[in-house]
Amino acid sequence: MKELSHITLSKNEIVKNGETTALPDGTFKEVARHIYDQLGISYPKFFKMDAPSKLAFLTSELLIKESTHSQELAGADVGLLFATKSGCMQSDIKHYESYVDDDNFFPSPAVFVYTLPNIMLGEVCIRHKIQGEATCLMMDKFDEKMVFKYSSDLINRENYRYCIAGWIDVLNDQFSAQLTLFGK
Amino acid sequence: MDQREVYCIAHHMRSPLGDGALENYTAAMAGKSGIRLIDDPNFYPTPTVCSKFEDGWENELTLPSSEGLTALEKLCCLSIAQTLKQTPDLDLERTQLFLSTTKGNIGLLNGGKEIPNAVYLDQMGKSISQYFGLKRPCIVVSNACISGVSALLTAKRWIEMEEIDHAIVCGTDLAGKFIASGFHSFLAISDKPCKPYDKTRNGVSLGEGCATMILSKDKKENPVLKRSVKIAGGASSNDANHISGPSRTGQGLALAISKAMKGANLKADELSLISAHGTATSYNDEMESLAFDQLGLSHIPLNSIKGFFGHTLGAAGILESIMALHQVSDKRALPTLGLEEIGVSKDLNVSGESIALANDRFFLKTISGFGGTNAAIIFEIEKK
Repeated sequence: MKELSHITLSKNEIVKNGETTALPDGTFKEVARHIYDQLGISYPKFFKMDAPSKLAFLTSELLIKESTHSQELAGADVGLLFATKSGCMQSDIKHYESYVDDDNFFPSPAVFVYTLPNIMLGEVCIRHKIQGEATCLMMDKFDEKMVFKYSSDLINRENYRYCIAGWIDVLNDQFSAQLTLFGK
Repeated sequence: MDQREVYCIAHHMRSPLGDGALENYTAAMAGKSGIRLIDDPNFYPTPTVCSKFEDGWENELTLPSSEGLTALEKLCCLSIAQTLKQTPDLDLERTQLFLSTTKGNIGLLNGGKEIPNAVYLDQMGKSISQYFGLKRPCIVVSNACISGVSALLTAKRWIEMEEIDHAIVCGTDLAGKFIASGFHSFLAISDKPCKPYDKTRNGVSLGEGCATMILSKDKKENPVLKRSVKIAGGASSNDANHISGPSRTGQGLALAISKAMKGANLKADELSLISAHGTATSYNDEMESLAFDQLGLSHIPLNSIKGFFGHTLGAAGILESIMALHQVSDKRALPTLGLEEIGVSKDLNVSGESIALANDRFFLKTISGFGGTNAAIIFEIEKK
């Protein structure tokens, strides 16, 4: 198995394959919008996403940007493996606020749809037509070893061509992400 | 290295229909359903059908030294304890816990500044793992409705890779206001007990439950069935189409099923039963009929048992696999309760009556969920 590309996103910086790019200060929403604009893509679905989906989407885009593999991710032999601590907590709280008061009761499908931690994987699958396994694991801290082993099994034993794996976490403007593109 | 084989050496489940797999199976075979009308604004402002544990169930749980555990964690620990009783010699040093849940302790959200620790799904896993003194960290799989099968497949993978020798795989979810209000907002909750594959189906009935399987590299006789049970194959896939609506073609589910069949080296006609998802939403059931038709599986006896247990979310993949184990070993499929007149565009060998099964050996469990997820798992029961 090969590590074809690696990226980390944290407050104020992106580090991709050893190269650092600065990120501005701001709320997560503002930083996300900045990255989206910098990417120069047109993807209207982005604006409906909740924070983890935006983070997963943007980190994946940055990971494969300008790489030969970006056009080769469609298929049943490409998988995703994301780990997270906070998952969809922000959307959970938003949904909670919509139902907790019987006198101000307004649950909405646009919010509820994001109250599962694996939806952010779904968004990335849709974007790149990834049709293999897309599994979401809940962890306290990123267990890089575990995720590496899982990815290598998908590639070595199950013959996956690619696996995008790593950590996606955002809660109330605190965000951190790291993804690796694994290949044969 | 020689590929290890993975066996289900013990199992247990608990639902409103009973405590224990046999108790649940017997109740369902007798036509009992856990689904009832819940008229309680703490669940939903208007009366809603749901397969819910009795009021006050939390207070009935007796688990020694369990202070600090939430009711849901206690429920899991009790199920796991019942399963461990069936395998007293299990080497816990080589055992890991895999937890499947979509919302866990979400009912503890209180709108306060601090999010209760137990609401984090990793913490729920940690609490349960610690209760049994397991050294390895709990692996928590949260993959929408397919979580149960995802957890079984992840555990199987971990055993095959020789990371561990045994896995305790536990799946659970509760049906509270969080989920009820959400599904209602989707207009996806049926007004009456759900009717899988039926012409007049109009949504899911939610359900509560907890189900556990112990997987092992050791070929041991499953003590409840008195035969060994092997996981012959399995796979998951993504529709890559829509985050909440199922695919219109069934292609993703078909992919997972064919990968599973290939892995198990099985032909369609060897299958005794397909325990399908059958949530009774308009789109899901239709999608499944397309997937099964694509693969030439339309003639295989098929059912959905959501009419007995409701949709138990994180428990579903494991709970329904356990029920399928009992049905197949008995050579009798439970009826698809709620089905009166089939209303999907492709033929299915499905019925509102119990179906006699041709063999007691192989079954396929399929499942799909939000986020475009699909999974399939095949079990092989040892020849008598």
